[in-house]
Amino acid sequence: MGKKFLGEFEELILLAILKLSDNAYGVPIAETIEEFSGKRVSIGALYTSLGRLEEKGFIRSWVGEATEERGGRAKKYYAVEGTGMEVLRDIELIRSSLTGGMQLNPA
Amino acid sequence: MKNRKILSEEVSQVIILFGAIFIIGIIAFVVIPIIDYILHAFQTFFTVLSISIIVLVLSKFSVEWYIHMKSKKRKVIIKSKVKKIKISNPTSRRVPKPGKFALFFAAALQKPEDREYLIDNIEERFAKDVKKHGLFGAKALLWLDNLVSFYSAIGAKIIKGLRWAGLGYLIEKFLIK
Repeated sequence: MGKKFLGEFEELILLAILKLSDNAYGVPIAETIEEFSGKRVSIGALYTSLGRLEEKGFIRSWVGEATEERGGRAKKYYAVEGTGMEVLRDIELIRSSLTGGMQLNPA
Repeated sequence: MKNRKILSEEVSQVIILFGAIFIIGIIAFVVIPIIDYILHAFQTFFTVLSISIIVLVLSKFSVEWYIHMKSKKRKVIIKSKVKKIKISNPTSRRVPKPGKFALFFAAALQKPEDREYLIDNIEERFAKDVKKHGLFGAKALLWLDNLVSFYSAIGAKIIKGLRWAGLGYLIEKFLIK
């Protein structure tokens, strides 16, 4: 069976969700990616990709309890599933195999 | 006898080869113009769409800039034949919210079950952007985000259409993204 691949943006989303742990919802995911990539993330584009990742089975979502922010409305949180972790490990393996022995730091 | 047999085999191979080239040429002659037409139609569609969105965004900004310059440090009430628009003092403590049309545009291409949460996230982010970049800057960023998410959603729908048409293997094989 062929390996599944991730787009660059999808990979960043999965990593951001892992980093945020229990607080992974729309705005913090976008802010985490922006912090590390230096590029602004559109919330709409983020949600499109989150939907796609959920369809692929890499992440799951659930609705949290109502919060004081947003006038008491609940938030939708995300977490990485087992298959998502597998694909991240595969990518890491490919990367380390390709860069093995290479000096990527500037001289 | 053996030479004649080899010769006839070679002749038949040449005939088959030329026949295949001829058929491929006919197919290309018919198919390529059709593909070219479809691609041109798509290109025209996206060009018109992009221009219309840019015109819409520019006209919205022009109106808001005009209103902003008029309001300055005092309350301004603008009477119009259709409705009354009340512009608050820039130092007002009211929490700024993105316009309804901007939210509608952002949510339109999302799944119905995600729209409510998307709008909540946009409003939360908009409030932060206002503190950082001011009201005008926050609105500009919101519309830029909307354009990006619009094209992202269009791209996702095209890929979904390709999967529905049974061409999913092409995406898996050739497109990593």
